[in-house]
Amino acid sequence: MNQRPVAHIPRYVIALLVLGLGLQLAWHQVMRVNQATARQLDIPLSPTYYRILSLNDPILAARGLDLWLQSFDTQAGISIPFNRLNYDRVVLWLERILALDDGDNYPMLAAGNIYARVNDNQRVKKMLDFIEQRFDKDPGRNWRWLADAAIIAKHKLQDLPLALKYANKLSSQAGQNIPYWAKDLRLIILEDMGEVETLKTLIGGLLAHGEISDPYEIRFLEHRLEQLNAKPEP
Amino acid sequence: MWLLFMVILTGFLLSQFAADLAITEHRNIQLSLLAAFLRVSGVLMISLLIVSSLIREINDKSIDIVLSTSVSRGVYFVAKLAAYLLVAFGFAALFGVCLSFYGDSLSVIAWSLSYFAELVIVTSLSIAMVFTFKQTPTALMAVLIFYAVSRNIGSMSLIASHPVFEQVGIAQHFMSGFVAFLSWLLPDLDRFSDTAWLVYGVQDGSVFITILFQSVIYALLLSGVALFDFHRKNFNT
Repeated sequence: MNQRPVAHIPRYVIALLVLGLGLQLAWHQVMRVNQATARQLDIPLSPTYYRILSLNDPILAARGLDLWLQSFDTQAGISIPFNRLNYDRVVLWLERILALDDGDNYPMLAAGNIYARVNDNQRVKKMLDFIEQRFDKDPGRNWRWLADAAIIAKHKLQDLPLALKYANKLSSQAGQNIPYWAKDLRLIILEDMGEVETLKTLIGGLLAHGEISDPYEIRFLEHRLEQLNAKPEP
Repeated sequence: MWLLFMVILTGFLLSQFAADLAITEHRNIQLSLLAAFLRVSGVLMISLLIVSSLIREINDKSIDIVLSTSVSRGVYFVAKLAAYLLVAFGFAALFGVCLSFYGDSLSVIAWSLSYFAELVIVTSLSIAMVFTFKQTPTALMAVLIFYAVSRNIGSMSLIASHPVFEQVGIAQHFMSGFVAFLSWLLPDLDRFSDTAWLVYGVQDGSVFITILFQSVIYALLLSGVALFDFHRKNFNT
């Protein structure tokens, strides 16, 4: 089939083409301001459904749900602020994703860095509770998220006792493989709380019991202890 | 016909199996799975039917014989479109009958009419792609890609226009611009044949006017494209 020149095309065809394209563009413009209605998160189904839907590929299902949940705040024509999402359901979805793939760091990262960044302390607290629960289940894997939670509790919630609780858990339950900045978070928080005597006792105890083998950490703690001792009594 | 029967049977078996797994809402699960399965299968079957039959007509020169008579290309196109639309209507009606076993009749009628509107676009598109690409695999692939992108274009453009992180690179700017451009040209098919109508009932009847307008406008545009390419083909050499 050879091509015939464009001049062979009847005018009504060109007119139809232009009319169709013009109407489509105009229609799109009209429909862009569409009827946006926000809907809330539904309760997730059991992991088995997502396994079946992903043809028995739970990793794929988990990754797909990661992206879906993350973009849930943006629905057709509307953007829901995170602080209007139902956080109990968000937690259910995050747990469901982790049930499909417990090695997936995305839900933990989203909990600490997306959902816990809202200006609603109750919702932030829910996310921190979720992170703490996950840490309790597997401290070795989830210690970095609890460290995040301690920082959020300290700086965002300004709830130093809560931050100290997380920091204490980190140093006592996360094992020896976590970096000392994470283990020593409790020292910083204790200092912020003005608990200088407790802090001195703690550092002194750590150094005396020989629990710490890293020479840099020992030097850091000795230096902090010297600074604290040099401080005048309040 | 056998393919259609097999598809419907498979849809019923799959949805029955899924409903048996469910501890609650069996009917809704069955209905939504069957509707989703029939919708995609119908699109696949109608596009395959149109592309393969038109390509066969072009290859065995029967189209040359028809065009050598007093039948104009415009009339030939309209006749073909009307015939395939009749088949599409048959698909939508038959699938509606299948869904009526589980859903209430008003919701099923709404879904079937909307599905027919969706098939009007797929039918026009399949004819246009045959005249554009002239080969079965390419034409069929173009139809399926178009369909998949059109069904997701609403979500794609929202994701592109609300990135999680600030856009920094040229590539990201290009992609969001490209998706926005596509959203102007493609029909928003995700408004069509919504499974929620079957499960929760039709909440807002005005959506049908939207669907009807979109379907007519896009069928016009695709007919223009198809006729443009059809008139450029020289069948007598």
